[in-house]
Amino acid sequence: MEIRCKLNGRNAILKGREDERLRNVLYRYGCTSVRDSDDAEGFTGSDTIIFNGSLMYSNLIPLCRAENAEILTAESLMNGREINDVQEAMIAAGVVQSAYNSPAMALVLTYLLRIKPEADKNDVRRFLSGMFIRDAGYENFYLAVKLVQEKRKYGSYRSEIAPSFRPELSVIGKPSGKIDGKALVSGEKLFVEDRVTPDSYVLHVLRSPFAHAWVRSIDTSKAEALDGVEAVYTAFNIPDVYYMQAGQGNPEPSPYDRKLINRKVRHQGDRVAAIVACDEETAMKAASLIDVVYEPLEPVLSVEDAMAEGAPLVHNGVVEYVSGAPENLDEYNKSADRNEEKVIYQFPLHGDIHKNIAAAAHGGIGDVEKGFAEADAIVDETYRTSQPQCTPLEPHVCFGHIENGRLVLNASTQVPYHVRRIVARVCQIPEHKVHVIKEKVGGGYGSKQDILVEDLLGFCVWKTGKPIYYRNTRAEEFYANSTRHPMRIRVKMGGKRDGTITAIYMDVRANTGPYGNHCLTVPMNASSKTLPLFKVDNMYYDLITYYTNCPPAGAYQGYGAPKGYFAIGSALGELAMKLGIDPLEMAKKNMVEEGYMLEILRGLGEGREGAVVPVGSCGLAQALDKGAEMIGWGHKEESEDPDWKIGKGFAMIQQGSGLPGLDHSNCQVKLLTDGTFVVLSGGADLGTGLDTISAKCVSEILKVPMENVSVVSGDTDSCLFDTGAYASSGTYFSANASLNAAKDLKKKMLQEAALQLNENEEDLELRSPGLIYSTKTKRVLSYYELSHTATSGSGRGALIGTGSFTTPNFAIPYGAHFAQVAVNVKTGEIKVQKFYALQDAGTPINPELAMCQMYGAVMKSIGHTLYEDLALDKDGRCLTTTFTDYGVPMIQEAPEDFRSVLIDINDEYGPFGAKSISEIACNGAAPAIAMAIADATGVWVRSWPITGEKILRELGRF
Amino acid sequence: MKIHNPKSLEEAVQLKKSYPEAVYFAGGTYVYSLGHDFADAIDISRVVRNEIYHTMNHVHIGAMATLEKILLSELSPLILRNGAKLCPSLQQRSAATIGGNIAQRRDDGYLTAAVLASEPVIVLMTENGRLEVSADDYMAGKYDGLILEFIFRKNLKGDVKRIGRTSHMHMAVSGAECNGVYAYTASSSGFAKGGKDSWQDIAFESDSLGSADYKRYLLSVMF
Repeated sequence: MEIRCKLNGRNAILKGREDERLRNVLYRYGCTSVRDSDDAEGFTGSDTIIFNGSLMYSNLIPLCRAENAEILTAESLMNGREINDVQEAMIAAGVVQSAYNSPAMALVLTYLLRIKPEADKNDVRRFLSGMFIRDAGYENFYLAVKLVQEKRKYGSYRSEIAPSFRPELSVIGKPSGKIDGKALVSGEKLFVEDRVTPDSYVLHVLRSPFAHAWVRSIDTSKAEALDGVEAVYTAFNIPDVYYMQAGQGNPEPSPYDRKLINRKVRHQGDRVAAIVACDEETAMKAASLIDVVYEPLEPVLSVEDAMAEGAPLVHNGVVEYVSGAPENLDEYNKSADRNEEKVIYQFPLHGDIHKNIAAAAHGGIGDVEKGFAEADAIVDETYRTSQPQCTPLEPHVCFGHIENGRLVLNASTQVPYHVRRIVARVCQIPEHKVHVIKEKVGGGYGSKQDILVEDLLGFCVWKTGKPIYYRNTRAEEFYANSTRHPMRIRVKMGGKRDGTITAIYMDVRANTGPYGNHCLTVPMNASSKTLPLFKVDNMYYDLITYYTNCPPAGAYQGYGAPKGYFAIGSALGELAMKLGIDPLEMAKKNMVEEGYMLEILRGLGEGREGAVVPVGSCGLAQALDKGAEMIGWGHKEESEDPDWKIGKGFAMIQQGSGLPGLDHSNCQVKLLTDGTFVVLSGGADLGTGLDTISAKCVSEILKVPMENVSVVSGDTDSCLFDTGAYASSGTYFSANASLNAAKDLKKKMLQEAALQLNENEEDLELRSPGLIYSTKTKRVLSYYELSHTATSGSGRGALIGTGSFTTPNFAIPYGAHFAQVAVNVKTGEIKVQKFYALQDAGTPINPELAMCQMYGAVMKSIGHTLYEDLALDKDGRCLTTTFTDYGVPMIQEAPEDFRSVLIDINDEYGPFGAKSISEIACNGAAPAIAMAIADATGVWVRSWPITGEKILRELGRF
Repeated sequence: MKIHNPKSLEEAVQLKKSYPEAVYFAGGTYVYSLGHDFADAIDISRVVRNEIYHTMNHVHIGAMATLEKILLSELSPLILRNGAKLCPSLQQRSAATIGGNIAQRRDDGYLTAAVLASEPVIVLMTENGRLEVSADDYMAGKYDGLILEFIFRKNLKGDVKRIGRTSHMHMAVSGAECNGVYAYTASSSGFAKGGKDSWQDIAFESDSLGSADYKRYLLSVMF
């Protein structure tokens, strides 16, 4: 049908089926700001439009209802190519990050300010009530509105957007807005789905309904015969290539325990067949025609199940080693089922698949038993964490096509070079045949560190030669995407009456799900990111990771640290309570400080011996002191309502900045012929502002305004290798590479200028806004002149700076989070009244973005602490496949008083003194809130999510 | 999905008779949302009214009145406004209608408890013409038909409460009290109405939102 309406102020004719969702029609019409994050659940708001004067979800409106309607999308905010003042303010406030629904947010706020120019915080909360933000939190949206109001009233912003750092530098440490902010907030075509060509085929995956089963046979003949079906792939016609999906440095500390499609399915939603067809409808019809004979097996759904004597084995294939094979391997493999997929270790992870063990490790210092013997009190408790899901607004997507004999993938990925390597492997082609283009990523949070869709999509494109698009449904995001590894962590902690901790023991049992992605490294983090906080001579950990038939676990922001902190932070609180001392004083007494030698690191290497280093820059003490002062630590709050009890808690935290000794970054900076610059960064900006950091490095070193710098990143053809955006490596590694490249270019520019000016290099310096100045002769050479001459017929060549960065040095961010929580001891309702996140990020290069990342990360961790739960039934089927069922926090769940504070500490090794910011912010909420609830009610809840029901049960209410 | 566009109420009910599996399509938050796949829908947006108005002793609310309209209108009974507030999303409230919400007879419906406790008359359009029924009877499934409007007594006083893990998750339980009449809902378990202890009539079931014991306890202490 065709309907006539007014779209963004102009008459429009929209075409489609009468029942077609208006969102799809609008997107097809060119309104690319109208995204879909929830498959028409009516939850996330990415599809928000103004429809006949009301904010509505366009996914829930059929085309036929749009006849004569007045429709406004975010495209209406633009004036030509200029964004409006709301969009500008959003960029300034730092809330435009992964930005998948930033245009919709801008539309909502513009509409609010149009109908209520003096909108206050309550109004903003009401208008954002139907918008899900996962990356930047909600707090700075209030700031964005305030900035707009100020600009409209006074002509400029008056509120402080974020503190500034390093006054001696021009752009580093100053809020400046992201260089791609305008493009993102205006809804430009920057995401994978915007690259899909009209002739594209679709990939649909037939998935297992069973958590554990053999695929005995599969008849695809009827599906293949269907018109429009290009190909069907199953375990019986894919290459015999083993690999793993974790995006990690090669050789990976994750076993190669799968093929593209396995003969044995190991979780509900595991791949059974891949159908390539002309459209989704045909692909789904084809899927329904595939006859699969399953032999269901008993599933293993928990660490306890996996450990049990006689438990079903998730993997029982032949085990191989690339290096470090044990001597008894042949004997070990005698009982292997050769019908099963192999498990191949790059090096020993101390797994034992005959006991469902994917990996194991242990280590420590001192003598914990001696330490416990010296203690006046001991706490020995077990803490359990659940399986939270990343829930990026943009689901996993990929588009691929063949171009000039090469496989080109437009990917939403954190690890373009790992994607290239793994896709090349499964396609059995050399890496130069694969070109990966990292598009804007609409949310990653770790789940796009894993190669979960690009592998199969790439293979299908390579084999068929067709352009193919794949997109996870939201349900698939829940049951076939990376989650946190559920863990069971026993912490035994001993302490003396004076608060000295004498020993800490951690027994970590982790659940990696069906495949071993990150099976060693995530659970290791539970200890490796917690124990080094303590100045305790006796510390030990044991770790075992088990295979199960739960949905697959993988990387998620914070990695294993949030679980470790929940356990160790709670244990510290419980021990303090037992000893009758203030847990904050106990923490201060036992925490590390700058210069302290971290002996514990020796036993915390990931599959190898770790390096012992001293604590570098450390703002932990300042964070604890300032946070305590802010929250009024030691002062008991009372509610007027006797049913509400108020308590306070805290957590001291650290994380890492990349993986010293493992990560590697490269960058090039080119001086163009007009004197401006292009940065080619191997790093992957996930919306966190890494490209902006690269631009700032160039701007600062080469003395040019940021407007003179463009950044291209994550393109495996044009940019040099980078391990990728994970483990908080962006600022420390990728930005350091950008900095080194800028410094290299500076050197080359000065060398060339000396030749051109016939002067000594020592007499030349770079000056703003882009000049070479001779301190001796006062002569000036513009960058344009420099480059123009260098690239002329008699020139010496284009000026390109190249930089790389590897390091054995650590740049550890530290912090403290404080929470004030109110609990209704009659109904179990929980309110996070206050949350203060204090962190040292060294020199925050983009302070406004840093603060929003803290808000976003804290909201995620409040989510996993109190609300989010991926529930499975007794057969391992996921019950929570929608946002509503799963329980993400929305603006209503944000703390009433929520602050991010950046502690000013400079780091020796980070670029301009910077350290990482966002993963560490996932670590504090769980222990701080658990402690606050205990302070309020006397009850310790030791499992995620901490629910009202659990509290009430502990209180003996029923 | 085939969308039928009746031009009158009579035509709407006739279409329903012709297509028994068809759903009435009001705001779209149910019919058009994830997981719902109907072959036929009958668009009632042009034939059912959405006004809120007063007569001498009553408040009339058209079935197509959205939750947002109810929330913002001072003509709406306060208890109903509080019920509408339980829908946490502005976009949802702008589309969801009181008729659509009640027609689903959900035990986690935003307005279920408020409507039961405030005891409106529900006006239906059936094959045999207009019919006025009690909310109790409608919710008990004794009558079916196209909901046209709700007629509330004036001067209702009451309160609505809900308990859920988050603002947007389905609620574990809700309750409403209106002029001494109580109504309760519990997820996966049903609803009840009557005196303060009428929650005891609910056959509580456990689900992902909480155990049966938990829900029973919550309703026992709700008021």
